This record gives sequence, structure tokens and C-alpha cells, in this order.
Amino acid sequence: MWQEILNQFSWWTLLEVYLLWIIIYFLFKIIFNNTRMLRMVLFYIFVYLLYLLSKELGLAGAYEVFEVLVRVLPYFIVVIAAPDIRLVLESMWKAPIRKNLLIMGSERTKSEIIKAAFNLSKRKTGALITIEKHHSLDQFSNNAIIMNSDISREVLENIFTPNSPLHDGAVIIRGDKILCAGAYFTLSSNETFEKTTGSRHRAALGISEITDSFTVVVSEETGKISLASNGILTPIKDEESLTEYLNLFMR
Amino acid sequence: MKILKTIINVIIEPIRYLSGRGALQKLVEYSENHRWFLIVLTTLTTILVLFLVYVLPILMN
Repeated sequence: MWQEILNQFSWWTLLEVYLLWIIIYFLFKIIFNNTRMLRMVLFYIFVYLLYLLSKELGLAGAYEVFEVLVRVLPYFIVVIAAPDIRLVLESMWKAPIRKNLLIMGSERTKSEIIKAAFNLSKRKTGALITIEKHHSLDQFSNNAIIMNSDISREVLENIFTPNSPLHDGAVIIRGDKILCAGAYFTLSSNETFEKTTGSRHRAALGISEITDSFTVVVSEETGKISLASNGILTPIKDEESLTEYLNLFMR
Repeated sequence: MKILKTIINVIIEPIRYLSGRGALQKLVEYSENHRWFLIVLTTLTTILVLFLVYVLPILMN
């Protein structure tokens, strides 16, 4: 018997194991991405068990229904979980790391960002300013309005002026330049945050989950400033703490 | 009716327990914080698939 089992394997089995491992790892990465995905998969397993049970017990009616469900449910799950799948794909195939090209902003850039953020906060104007670090944000800037302009408080405030064409998206900063404006990020679906977290904050969290960027968010409703980094949203009280965070990040 | 209610409870209760205690959230957080968890789970699943495809049919004969 053991000889028979060993005869089943060849050198090609190694390739098969490798391919299987990658596919299963990728599936688990999607499933364990958030509780919604996990719940859907558990529900599918539950339906599958009922299908097997109805088959074993010879329950013809239930078997017909569960057979259809078992076939159709995976398609529903893929449609419902499309945003999560996209997020996992984006985080797995991150854009190339710009280690040798990394240029962080100067002191002047930091001070202009801080001034702009607090002026926007006073006027309760929503804003989203993302500072690029190692992970390239080209995939987002490609679909936005390229600016390549020098950073100044006036330009930043002007971009986020309500009803202006670019005020809705994010500004991406690379080094001492405003790379683009009107960039749109994938929203975070992290369920640990309050349900009332707005789309601007969710966008900031979304980009911080998949890249090492740093985002300054100004709330349109409250005027409060927050920072998004590594999937964490930190409220900012005053200019000193924002300066401190920016100094830490832009080293 | 009482038997039917018991059967439904037996099916529903474990799911309700998992959702209520935040067990799924804990599992997701654990997999995020411990990378080896997914690697071990993937390896075990791969071994299981190979066992079901190659070994089990021989053992069944």
C-alpha cells in the first residue's frame, strides 16, 4: 500500500504543492481580511454541511435546494466581497518601493502643510493631504489631475475650497511638490471604526492600510484634524503635535 | 414544535455565539498580528488537499 501511495508522487507533485500553496494562501488572505468575509465563508460552509446532510439522509427536496445554493453562493460571495478582494490584491501587489529615490519634504514644506491644515480647520473646510514615502502612489496619481507645483499654503487652501473642481479628492505630496490633486483612494472597510466615520476619513485610512504614506485629514463637519498612518487614525489637538508627527514621519 | 425549536437552536446558537463574543473579530486580528498563522493554516490545508486527492482513494480501496 505504501509503495502504491509513493508511486502517486513525482517531481511534478512539488510544482503542484507550490501552486496549491500559493492559491490557498491567497484565498485565506482574502477570507481573513475582515469579519464580513469570514462570516460569509462560514455561512457557505454551514450551507455545504446542510447539503451533505440532506444528501446522506435522502431528503430529496432539501437536497435540490441546497445543491442550487452550494453552486450559486460562491458567485454571490465574490460579488459582495469585490471591494475586499480588491483591497487584498492592492496590498499584495504593492507598487515598487522607491528606496533610492526617497526625498522627503523640507522644513518649509512641513510648515506650509501645517499652516494650510489649521487654516482649513478654522474654516471647517474638508481636506485630504497624503504624503508619499517608500510606496509609490503613482497608481492613484495616474487617475488624478497632475500638478507638479511647489507647495504653498495658498495653493493647498485653494484646492480644497468648496465647489472647486478638485476639492473632493486627495492631494498627493511627493518631496517638496504637490504631485496631483483630486486623487481617489479605496475606502477602508475596517469594522472597528465607528459606523459614522465619513468617507474622507475612510479614504485616508484605506490608503494608510495599503501603503506607508501619511495622511492629514480635516473634517468638513467638525473642522478637527486627524492623521492616518498604518491603518490608525490619530486626532490632532494643536500645531505642536502635528509638527511633531510630521517631523517623525518626514525624516 | 418544541423539537423543531430545539433543532433550530442547535444550529443557530453556535453562529450567534461566534458573532456575539466577537470571536471572528479576534480571529481576524490574530491573523493580522501573527503572519505565521496563515502560513501554518495554508500548509495544513495543502497537506489535507493532497491527502484527499492522492492518499485517501488508495486507503478506501
